[in-house]
Amino acid sequence: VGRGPREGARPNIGIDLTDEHWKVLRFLREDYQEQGETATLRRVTAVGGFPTKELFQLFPKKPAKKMSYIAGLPKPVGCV
Amino acid sequence: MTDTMTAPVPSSTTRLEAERPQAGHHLLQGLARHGLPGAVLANAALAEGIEAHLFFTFWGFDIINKKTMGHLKFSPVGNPATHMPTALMGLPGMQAFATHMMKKQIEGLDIPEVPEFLELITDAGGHLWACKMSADMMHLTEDDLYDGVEGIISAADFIELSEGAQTLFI
Repeated sequence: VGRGPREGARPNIGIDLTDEHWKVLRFLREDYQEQGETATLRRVTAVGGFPTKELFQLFPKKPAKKMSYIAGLPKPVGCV
Repeated sequence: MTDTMTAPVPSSTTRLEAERPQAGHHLLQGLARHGLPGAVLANAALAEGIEAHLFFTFWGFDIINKKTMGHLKFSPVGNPATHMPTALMGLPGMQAFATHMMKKQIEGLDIPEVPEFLELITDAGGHLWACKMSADMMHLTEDDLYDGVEGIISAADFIELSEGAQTLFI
């Protein structure tokens, strides 16, 4: 599996990707491969181990949608 | 550009611009004693980049009272969602049974229980407030309430806080 935009690339939604962003994005992609659906914010926190606060800092305002967008995955369908 | 991978394809319904002028507020009270509906909506609003405030009044205090928040009950009385005769629902043991069933369903869907849900909401930047009149009537102070509650405020304070916002009374 490729890693999408290469490091340093700018996904055009005002976020400069750092290592911290990449850790989350890699988790999302791996989890998607295993589960067949995009992890919800809660799953990223509970299973991936990334605190909610951190996710809101890395991907401000709309973390779930921004993360999945940059990772190249469908937006999560869960309510939580 | 040639060595970059294909750009992610956004879903056409995804909106990534979060800036919205209005703040969304939720007023949580009363019938939904187990607190879940308000928590789900506040959490959804926050995930959409909308400001959310939860104002807990009288019956809603169980949800933020440290003594009761860990074992909230789902009331089946007069609740049409149970699909059971109302007369049965008031019998001894029915509330415990209904709560047990509700918890099983919630766990199955991987929905957090209320205390964890409140933490999720405050971590996401949501605000929790307690109603002053209710606190006075129940002889409770901030020390009795969940740490995430920012303050005990009056109804007028909340009206001011929620001016121009979408307010839900739950």
